[in-house]
Amino acid sequence: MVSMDIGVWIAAFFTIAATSYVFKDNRVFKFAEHTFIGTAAGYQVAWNLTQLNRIGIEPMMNKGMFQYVFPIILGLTVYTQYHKDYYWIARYGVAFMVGQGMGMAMRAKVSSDFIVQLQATTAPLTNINGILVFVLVLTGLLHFVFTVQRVDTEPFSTLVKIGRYGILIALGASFGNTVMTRLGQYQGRMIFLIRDWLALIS
Amino acid sequence: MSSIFEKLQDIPRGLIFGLVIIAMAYPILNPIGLPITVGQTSKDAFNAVDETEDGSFVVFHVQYGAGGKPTLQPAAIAVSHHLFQKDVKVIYFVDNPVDLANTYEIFDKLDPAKYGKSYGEDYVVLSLTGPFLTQAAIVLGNLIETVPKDSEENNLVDLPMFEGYTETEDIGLVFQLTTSGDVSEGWVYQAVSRYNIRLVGGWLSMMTSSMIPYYQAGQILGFIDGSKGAADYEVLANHPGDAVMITDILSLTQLIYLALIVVGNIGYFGAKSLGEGKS
Repeated sequence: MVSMDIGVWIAAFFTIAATSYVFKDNRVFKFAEHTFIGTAAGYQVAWNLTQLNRIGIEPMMNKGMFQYVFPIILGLTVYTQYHKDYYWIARYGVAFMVGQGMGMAMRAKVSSDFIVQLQATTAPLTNINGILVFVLVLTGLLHFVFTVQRVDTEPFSTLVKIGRYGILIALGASFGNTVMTRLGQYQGRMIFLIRDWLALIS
Repeated sequence: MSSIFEKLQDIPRGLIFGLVIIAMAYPILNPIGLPITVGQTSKDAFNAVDETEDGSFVVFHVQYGAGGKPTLQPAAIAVSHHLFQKDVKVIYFVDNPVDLANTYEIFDKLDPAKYGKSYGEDYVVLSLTGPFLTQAAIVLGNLIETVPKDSEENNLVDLPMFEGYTETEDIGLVFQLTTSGDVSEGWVYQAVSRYNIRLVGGWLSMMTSSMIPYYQAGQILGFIDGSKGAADYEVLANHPGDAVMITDILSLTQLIYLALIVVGNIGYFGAKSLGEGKS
């Protein structure tokens, strides 16, 4: 029996409305799109204000942790960018966020993305996967070396071609995975329509 | 007048999507039951959870919103079944309102009480906002001081599960389910490189090619690769659900896509051989 839950009906309507775009852009799709964006933005604003209160203002008021006043002021400076005379103040807040983000990332990025990856690439070449990774990393990097003259002549051209094929295979695999991901995302909605809305299966 | 080969290159997209929708609906109504071969990365993820020390904390990051829910929510449910079978304490961690709803839906589906687990004693839900790397550093290294309350406004220090909690040393595993490349890499930076905590992941299939180097280098112990990985985990956890159903659909729709690629190529090469190919 078809679901009698109004929430399920609303969800089914928006699922079909959003899907209708694959046939042709239309007003029902636009309505669904705008409703989603508006709802998501509203939720996010409310969420951020709640977090600001829980993590910043409440400890400041109840526990005397007045050091939180500095990040709150820095955060508020970002909004000065909307004022034509005081927009420059926003740079301080942004500079702090960028600097803090860089510091957090760089501390571990060198180890995670460079040293450990380099070690893994130069591991003993005892199997076909290891050999493929080693060869394709080197030839793939060579493909992007533009400072060597006569790169279009042997032996460089063959190595560059191997690197190019390696990159193309990786891109092909990535595209295949993307198709699978997108299908997987819609399959969940199909199950919802058939099982939860129309109740054609239990 | 255009030849058949040119028409094959211009199949109306309404027809293509119509075929795909039929291919998706058919296996739901008439399950084919194609066998699922569990992949090695899923087995490694399962084993990593299984080997987590009793009594330790597991940080479970739920971060896939509405878009990734069909793919990763079944995985979250299967992993939660597995975690609740073990003697570990789970910190569910979310950074947006949709994932807060997703997390409570997990509890609705699996009923923690069936496993003898209760909120505050065995699991808790935390919500945060802000730059991800900062959030991860807080959760792993300075939780109690920075986030004094859970998402239900309970003081963390008052919850029984946090009695004697010593932050990083007590965390035995981080399990992330995410649709964000920055988040999936960010956990490697924070959990593995900075705090030396074991890490397992799960993400959309399209992210796998950029994340697999971390797995091959041993930084990530195992991972759930999209819907297929979620189905693997459901089989391993012995709780078949939506992901197992999705693999049937995936197989059929992928066949449709392959057939369309072949048809398009026949059109292209046929038209080219007749000298009427598109420029």
